[in-house]
Amino acid sequence: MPGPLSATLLRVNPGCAAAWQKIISGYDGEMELSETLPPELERFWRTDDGMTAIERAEAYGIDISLLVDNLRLTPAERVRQNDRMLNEADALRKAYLASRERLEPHHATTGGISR
Amino acid sequence: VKDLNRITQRLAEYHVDFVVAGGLGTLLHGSALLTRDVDVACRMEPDNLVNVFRAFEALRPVHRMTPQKLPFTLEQAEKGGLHNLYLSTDWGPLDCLGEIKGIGGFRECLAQSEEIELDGSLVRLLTLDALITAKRAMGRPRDLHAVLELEAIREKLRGR
Repeated sequence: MPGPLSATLLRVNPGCAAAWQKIISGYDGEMELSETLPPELERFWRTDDGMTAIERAEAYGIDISLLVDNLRLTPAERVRQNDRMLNEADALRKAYLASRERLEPHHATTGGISR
Repeated sequence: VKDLNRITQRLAEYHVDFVVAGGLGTLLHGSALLTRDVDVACRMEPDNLVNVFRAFEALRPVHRMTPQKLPFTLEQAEKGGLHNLYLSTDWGPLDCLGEIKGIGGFRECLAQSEEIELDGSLVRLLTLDALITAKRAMGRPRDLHAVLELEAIREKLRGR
């Protein structure tokens, strides 16, 4: 089973709603994201299920080999790997949008979303 | 271009009092989850915020939660009174947080942190146990994946 929520850790910038006042008063923009955990996944918060932490992570769909690979890296290497992946993803996204713009100008300008 | 490594180093170079937390902290402990921003527990007194300003003034820091992306200014830093600071810079987003849920303010975070080296800079990072506590306290669906990875990493490390 794939990790169902891995994509959601990529921060989505809520951006538009917060106002100056909210910043000063300690507003946390992340709380505006609507997230709902499917009921069948709630059990993974528990630690009294008789599983080890590794077994629980695997049952959730986490690839432990990725963690083992990361533990071989230094902290600096882990951040550089993250930055490289993000920048490559951004470049791919821009290339995709540019391609859509050439082929279908309307779709590219709306991000492919029908309005 | 995202350069979270340099943001963290920059904070250290300008003697900002901070502790790495959030997604970057999770990543630094070995998680495979990607993160787009730098979350730090920060001492929010004016002198420290002035250091934050000095560190990023050349990188066009703006309050990214404001619709107009208002600039972060020296006057704001000197005035203080900020609980959190959500910035966007040329190198990526930086969140300076006055408190980490489940842990407390900067002093409590500092007490539950460890020193790590990032390309020659020494920075403070929430310990693995503290980060798990913080992520569990946040309790959002996206924190669950991080908690499961961090707890698996802790078990791996203890098994070595």
